[in-house]
Amino acid sequence: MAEIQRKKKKSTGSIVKDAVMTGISYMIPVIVGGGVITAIAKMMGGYNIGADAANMENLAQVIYTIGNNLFGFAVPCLAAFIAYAIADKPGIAPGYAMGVLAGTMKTGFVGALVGALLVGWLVLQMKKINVPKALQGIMPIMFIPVITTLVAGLIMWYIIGVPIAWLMGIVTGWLTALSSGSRFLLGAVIGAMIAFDNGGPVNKTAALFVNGLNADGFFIPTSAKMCAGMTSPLGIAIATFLGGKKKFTDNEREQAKSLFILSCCYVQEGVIPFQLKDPVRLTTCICIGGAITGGLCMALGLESPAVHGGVFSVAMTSNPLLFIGLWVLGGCITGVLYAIVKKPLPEDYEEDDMDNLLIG
Amino acid sequence: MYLVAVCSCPVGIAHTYMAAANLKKAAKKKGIEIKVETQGATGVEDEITKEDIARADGAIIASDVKIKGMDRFESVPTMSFKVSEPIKNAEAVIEELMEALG
Repeated sequence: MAEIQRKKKKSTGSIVKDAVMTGISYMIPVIVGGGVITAIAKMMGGYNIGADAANMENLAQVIYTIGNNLFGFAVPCLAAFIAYAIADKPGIAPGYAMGVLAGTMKTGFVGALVGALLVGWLVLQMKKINVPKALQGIMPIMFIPVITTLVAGLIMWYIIGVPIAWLMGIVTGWLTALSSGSRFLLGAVIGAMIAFDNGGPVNKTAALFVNGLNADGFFIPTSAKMCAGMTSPLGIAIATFLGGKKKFTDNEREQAKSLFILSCCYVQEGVIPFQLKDPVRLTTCICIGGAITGGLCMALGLESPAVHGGVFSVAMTSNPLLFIGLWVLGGCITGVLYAIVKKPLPEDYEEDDMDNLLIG
Repeated sequence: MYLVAVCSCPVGIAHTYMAAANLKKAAKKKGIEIKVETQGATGVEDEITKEDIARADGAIIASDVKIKGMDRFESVPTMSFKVSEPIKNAEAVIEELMEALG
């Protein structure tokens, strides 16, 4: 390709990051679809429906099984599309293998991620091998999936996977044994990271960690993630309401109305136009609001089986009223803080281009 | 001058479309014709066709993920950016490409 190199060359780190982001990008609909469907089933059939869903005796159990089957694809899907991002189409099948293997080995999403990077790299190396013309056609459908899956699978099982499984055991053990003080701290870190860049890389990193734990059966951090994420659009909407005409333009106050709705849907990206205009002050405020909400969610042991859905999945949390309370609390903290620290508009202010920025 | 661009981000509901909107706005301001393809959560929209490629002078890829159909751009000078770069300053992105094109 006629790629023009920029002054800064792409590092190995950013190739890995792009690959992981691609994997997440394809995993999100799986997690959301599966998570919300199982949560609907929990709403219909009680919180512990998962225990005897295999009986398939009633509608709730059937719905739970449908959702749970999809959810089971979350980690394999992450692995498959990480490998795909590195090695293109031939990476998908070996990537799936690494994801499923991670489930078997109980190495969770970390094992899947490492395995996918390994197998993706292997596929890429195999694609570079020059083979006789007669064999070229069957390379990608025969040799690549068989050899790379086998090699990477054995390496994961006997070597790399062992310390990861051990580490995941420690992490999960640590998470279940956390005192409420350290739970608050962890929740606050999750909340602040989720709020920090509204759908950007820091947010996605925290979300990957939390969703990975969710896929491994820990539902408390998920409530911290979702509730904290919902506070930032709500907070900015409240801030424009409190700040009024002196601090916000007409366009901004108009946009803020949609932030209420976006907050209910747990879509943070609407905050970005505001964040770009006033990065330091706004980011500080949304992080404080997010951290307090996230910390309280975890300290109080609020569980959310659904990783997405906003108000539509509130009823599925272990304590819906508490969830709403913490959401509004965080939103008010962010809103009041930002309304105070935001600088008033200059007297001769004119609407600039940024005000017309589309919210996707 | 005719540019083509592809925008994509992990979730594909906001950054993708903000980057696309800003690139279009910046190009209009500079009097440059641009076509922006978005690869969001719904898939490919405003697809860049063979005809577009044939008459394009340069291509901008603004993405944090692997985009579909990267091999289309083989014949066009292509520059890759993070999706956040045109969101922050789309004019600088276009200028950097123009400078490299000479």
